[in-house]
Amino acid sequence: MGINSLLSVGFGLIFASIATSTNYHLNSYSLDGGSTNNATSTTYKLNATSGDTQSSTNNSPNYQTKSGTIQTQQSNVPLAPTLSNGGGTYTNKLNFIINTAGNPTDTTYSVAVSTTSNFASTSYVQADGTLNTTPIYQTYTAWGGATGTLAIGLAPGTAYWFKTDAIQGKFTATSYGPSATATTSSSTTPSLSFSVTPNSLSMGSLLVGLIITSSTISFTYATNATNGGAIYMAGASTGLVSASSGGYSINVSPPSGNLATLAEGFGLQALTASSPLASQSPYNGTSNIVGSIYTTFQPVFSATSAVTTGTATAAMQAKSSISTPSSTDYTDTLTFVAAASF
Amino acid sequence: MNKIKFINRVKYTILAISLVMTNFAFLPQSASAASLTNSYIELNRMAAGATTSFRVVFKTASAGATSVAINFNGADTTTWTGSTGTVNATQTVSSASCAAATGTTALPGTLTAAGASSTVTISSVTALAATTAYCVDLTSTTAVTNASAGEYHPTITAGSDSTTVAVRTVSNDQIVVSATVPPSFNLALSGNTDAFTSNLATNAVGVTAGKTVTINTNAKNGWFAWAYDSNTGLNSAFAAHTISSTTPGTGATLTAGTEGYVFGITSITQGTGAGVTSAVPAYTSNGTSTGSGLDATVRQIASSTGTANGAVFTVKELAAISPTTQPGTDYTDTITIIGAGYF
Repeated sequence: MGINSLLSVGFGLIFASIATSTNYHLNSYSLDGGSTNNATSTTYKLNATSGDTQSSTNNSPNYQTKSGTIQTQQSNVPLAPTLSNGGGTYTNKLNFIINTAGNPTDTTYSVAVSTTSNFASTSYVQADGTLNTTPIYQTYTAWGGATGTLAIGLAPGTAYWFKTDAIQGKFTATSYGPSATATTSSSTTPSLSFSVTPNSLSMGSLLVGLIITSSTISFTYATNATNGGAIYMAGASTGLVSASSGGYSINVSPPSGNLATLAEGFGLQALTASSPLASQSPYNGTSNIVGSIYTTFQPVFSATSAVTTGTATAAMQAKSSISTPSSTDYTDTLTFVAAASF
Repeated sequence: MNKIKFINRVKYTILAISLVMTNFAFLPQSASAASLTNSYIELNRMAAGATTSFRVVFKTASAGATSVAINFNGADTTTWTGSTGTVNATQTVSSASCAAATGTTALPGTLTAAGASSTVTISSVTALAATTAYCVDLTSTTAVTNASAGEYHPTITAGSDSTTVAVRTVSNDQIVVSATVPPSFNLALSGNTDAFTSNLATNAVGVTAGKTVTINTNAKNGWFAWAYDSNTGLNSAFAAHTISSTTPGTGATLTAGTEGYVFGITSITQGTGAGVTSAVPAYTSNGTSTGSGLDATVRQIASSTGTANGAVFTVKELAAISPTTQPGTDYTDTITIIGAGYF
């Protein structure tokens, strides 16, 4: 095969893939007849047809016409993805939703990202949302479907352009479709506020067999951490301890217990939490089911997103039995701390 | 010919463009510092001025970091160390227990840590993987001294990646819970009459059916039970005769045909509670012939060493008569049993 024939084969392959590009656009071109089918190399396979195949393209911001056998085989070029910066709360991520352009459900897509509209430098979203240099193809569903996926690890206060291509089996790869742009929010100072009151709590007299509930413990919690955070509790002891009774402890075996059926016990029960704060097991029981006190920190309330003005309440419950040694010095010190994930 | 030349020129041009574009597609992206994500510092005390250990959690962007630094001053104008907060030069570090609690990967390596100025630096970290969440604990209870109440913005740096987080110190982060368990003691008899099971005869020692005494108490030191007798024996007003108690407080064995009267505990159980119960030896009875006498003196008959929930002992009275014991149908005695918790 002479150089002209090689060029003809190459021309056919290129014809199928670069009818339009960022910098060049072929208005019309043709493939001479007699091209070889199924020519292969290690990394490429040629799909070519004999006979002239005409192709002319017309473009608009959102659509591109295709003609010819090869173009007809291709998947529909995806439309511009839908981007979101979380209403201005995302400083290092953006959410994107693939626009499938009616492609079948087994079509896979890659997502190209750039900080310039001409994609002079391009990264590709990986399956875990990070950016890397290699395109990763996944179905619309794997890319989060109608909810989309977060591209993470972005810089704050930066404009990003996203575009997608599609492929559904061999020889169906499209070019990248039109792009969409969104800007991450400028970096804001991380914030966290927290309080717990009161700082002392008397359960009074624990009469045998009676369940005593303390007065309400109140919490305030707020953070702009997009991953939310938690309020944790740990006790100096695992229950109400009397030093004068040889260290006798009124407690509930982990993780929780029902004081209505236990002879004695002591624990915490979460009462209320303002969304997005939510109580956590084992402190989210009802009635007389209380969570045990641990000497290591356990989450009592947590949130998975920023909390503007969060409030929560809890209470302690205790019960003594006829076998609980009489004493006036039953006590425990509960420490509450808060953290937020930025 | 001109058309052929034109077509060939277009072919060459397109091929060249393709080769160039292919080369652009495979140019490697340059590396740059990136942000850690999903990062936080969990102080184990938030009270201003308290000393505390703390936990660090972060998610890498890049790979390869071999050290982690936590700068408590961060980019603050009002800094941690400028607000009476400190970072201890001596640090201990471990990632042995944080992974299970946080659902992240324990920071790998033979970790060491040291503090200088406002920064804790963790060294000897095995090169970290990209996009991986790690945790580590600075375990010394004096790792840092909390700054005055307020919000601070430490930075966490792992290799070339970093982020700023927020921590808060407050006036009080604790609740002291207190309670009283009031003293409680209860003693109950199963009945107030205890008759002999048959008429007393010279050929056998008679015994009553018995009554139980139940004690419940939360006295941590236990309880005592005592008894005393109104007649110092079984007395018949009709016969004007008393079958006398044996020597009170001394164990005795009655013999058929020889007058005598004793009181005894035939069984004793703890129930639940911390105590160990026991009967006074003199008043331990085999239920057929042994026991000890009672008189008007209050005498201890049983005790326990701790709390009791359902401690029970059974008391019986035993008597023997001789051929000359005056007959009567009104032989009687009143025994008073009392108890008290030892608080």
